[in-house]
Amino acid sequence: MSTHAANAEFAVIGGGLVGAAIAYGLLRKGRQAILLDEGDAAFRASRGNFGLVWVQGKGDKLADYAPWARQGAALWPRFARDLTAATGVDVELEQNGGFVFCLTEEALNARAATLERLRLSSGLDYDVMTPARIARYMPGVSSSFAGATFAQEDGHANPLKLLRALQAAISLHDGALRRGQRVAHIEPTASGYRIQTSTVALKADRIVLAAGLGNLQLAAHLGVDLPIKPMRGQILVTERCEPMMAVPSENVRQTRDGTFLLGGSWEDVGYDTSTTFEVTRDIAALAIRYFPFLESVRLVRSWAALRILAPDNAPIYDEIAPGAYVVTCHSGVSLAAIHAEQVAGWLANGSLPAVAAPFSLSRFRVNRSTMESARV
Amino acid sequence: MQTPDLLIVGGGAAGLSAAGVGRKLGLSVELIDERPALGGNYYAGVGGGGLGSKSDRQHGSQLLTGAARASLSEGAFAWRVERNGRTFVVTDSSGVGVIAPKRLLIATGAMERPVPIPGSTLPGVMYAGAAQLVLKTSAMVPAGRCVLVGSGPLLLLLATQLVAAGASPAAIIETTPARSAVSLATLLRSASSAPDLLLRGLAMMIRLKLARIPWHHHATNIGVLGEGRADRVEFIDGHGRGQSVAADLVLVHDGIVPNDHVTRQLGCAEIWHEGQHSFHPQVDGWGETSISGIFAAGDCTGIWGAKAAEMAGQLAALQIAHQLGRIDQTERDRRARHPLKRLERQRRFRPFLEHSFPPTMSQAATAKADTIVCRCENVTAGEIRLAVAQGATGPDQLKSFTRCGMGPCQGRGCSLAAAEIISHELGTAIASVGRHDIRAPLKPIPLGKIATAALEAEPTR
Repeated sequence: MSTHAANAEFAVIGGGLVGAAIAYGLLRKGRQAILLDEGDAAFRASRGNFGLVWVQGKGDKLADYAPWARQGAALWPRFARDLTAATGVDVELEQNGGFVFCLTEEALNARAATLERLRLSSGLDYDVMTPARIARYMPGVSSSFAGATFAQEDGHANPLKLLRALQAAISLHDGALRRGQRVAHIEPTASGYRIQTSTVALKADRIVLAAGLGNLQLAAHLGVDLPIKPMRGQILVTERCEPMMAVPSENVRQTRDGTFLLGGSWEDVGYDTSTTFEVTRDIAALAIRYFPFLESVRLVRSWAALRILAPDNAPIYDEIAPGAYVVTCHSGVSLAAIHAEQVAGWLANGSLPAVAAPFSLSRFRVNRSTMESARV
Repeated sequence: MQTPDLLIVGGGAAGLSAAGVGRKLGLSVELIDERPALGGNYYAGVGGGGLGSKSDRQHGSQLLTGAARASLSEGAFAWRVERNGRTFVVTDSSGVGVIAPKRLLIATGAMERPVPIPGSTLPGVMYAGAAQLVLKTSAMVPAGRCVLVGSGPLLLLLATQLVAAGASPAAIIETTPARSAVSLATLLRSASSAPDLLLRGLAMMIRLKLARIPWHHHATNIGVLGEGRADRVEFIDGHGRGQSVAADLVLVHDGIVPNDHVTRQLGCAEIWHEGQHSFHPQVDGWGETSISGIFAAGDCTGIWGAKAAEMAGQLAALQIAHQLGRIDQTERDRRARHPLKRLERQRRFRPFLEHSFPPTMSQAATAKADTIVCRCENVTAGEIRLAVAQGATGPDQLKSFTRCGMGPCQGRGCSLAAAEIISHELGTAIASVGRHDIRAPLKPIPLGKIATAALEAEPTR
């Protein structure tokens, strides 16, 4: 075990989509950053991602998240172009709109009411469509459900290609990508932080905790308790079929190489990343109800991953100790562009601006005291 | 839902013998096999009119008879297995069913060691084992010029079987390296523990020599070429000369490895076996894996051969009967004495084979950049090396970067090759690299069959 020290201006801990986007952004802004990636053993939510670049519905529990998500989607085209130019990796971005299906009229009305609220507060443009209209975008859709909400700003990308492109772009900077580095300990020093990984000790002026659920333990080193928890999602992927769907939906999307991804389960089961038969069956049954032709399409693989959820499903950006930032969210794909652009910009400037304030940890403390007083 | 004492996945030597012993000791036993007929690879076709030596056929029939009192399902595929033993099965004719046994025995046998060589994905190239299976089960022989390429006893056995069936191969291109002099005495000692096997090997070689088939030795740099279809094999022969042999069908073989997809999907602990150059699920002396209640026996735990598999199946059934209270410890140990002794003898023979037939052309670490490693997703050795350089830290990350192992075969064909390349590129031991996770379903099945499964599937233990 070597223990030689290395120094960095920024050490970003966590090589998934969030950490890689931040490190990529810092490097593009000319800052000296290293990305510490735990490797194959990590929970790696980025690998289980469904791949939506999504706007509709975001911010239903935190008003400031709605315009933030819209801005995040708007930054994506240039972000994708730049990444492809730097690495040659096509991240398969398509932003031609997207659907959220509702089985019943009640569900559709409730959904439309939420989006109407978001339209009024953030300017989100949306539509409500019957199955007959949906068929123009997604041929083969059944008519045995109420309808869907549609938002033109929604889209999808290939999350695996995205992670690969980000890591490839970072690895163009000599020594910036450190693999197999599980962080064992963090401690403040006079001028920054000392990080001990499984193989090296290094010093950084500033650190960014972007390790998904791993942030819980990292923040604990600095005495901070993060209000995030895992929420399991299971995803099925089919064999390849002829490309037919121009846009994705929240439950079913066709990837560029023709496979269908089916998902949409939410299970509060702790850190268990196994798949279950029952959820596999329910996902398949719901997908077939929306798209009957899927009945004869073969399932090739299934997996489960853990979403990283804050109580209001929105991201957390905060400085939890001088020069120690936490960045965590469950929308690593949707927010990748804005993380690389805006959030990395804040960090490069050395302070979080007023626009970051709604995403700080203090919002949960306020809620908690409100609840406590309400109980009294 | 069926809740037998013992569910056996795989009806080869290990599975059949375990079923026989299990029934004899009063266990309720279900056995499923994905193929249309039982027997596994070694005893393929014993139930019907296939080939094979007389003594093998007789013994295979005995195994079948012994297992007959168990509930046997052919053409039933276990596509999802859970750590509590609950096993989801799909058949062509009906839908998805579930079996929740008290104990699960995985006996899925061996498969061909994947051979990622240039041109191996061309039509007209197949594995020797697959050709042998066709020969054994339906007595069909290949038409045209058939060229055998590779290394290992099965390749030579197939050659003699083809000769016997009147379809002599056009050429044998053996990639087995010149034998090193490393402690031949030791090897002979291990081989002499199973003189019958040694004699059978020698007889085989003599028959082949008599057949006067063009036979190239110590070949390297194998490539299969052809426009849209294999039409020749090129290689460097043992004297360093470039050679080209015309072929209508190329049968490749570089030894066999455990067919360990079920234990991998379950996440059973594995060890790296240097002699066999493969990963093996870790099992105790009775075949119990790192997951209690889940057993594995036979070649899916390491290549020890059909006789050893039979003994391992018996031992697993004894321990399961003991765990379920059918026999006490003394009785278990008494009944285990004979199979243990025979198992030990069979295992002593293996180092001889491992030494004589190490992996040759299948070694991916130094494969040419344009060699396809993952056939399902068309991923080359060069693409894997690039992904490793760009940050793929291990096989799972590699899979997500390149789709290597994401296809319908779940990485049966590429996971070892990918591990070899990562290990070579990063300079880390292959044991610590490991292989990517395997996900259900173990083979593709229509969504409709899953969606309509009406199961009251509750784990029983």
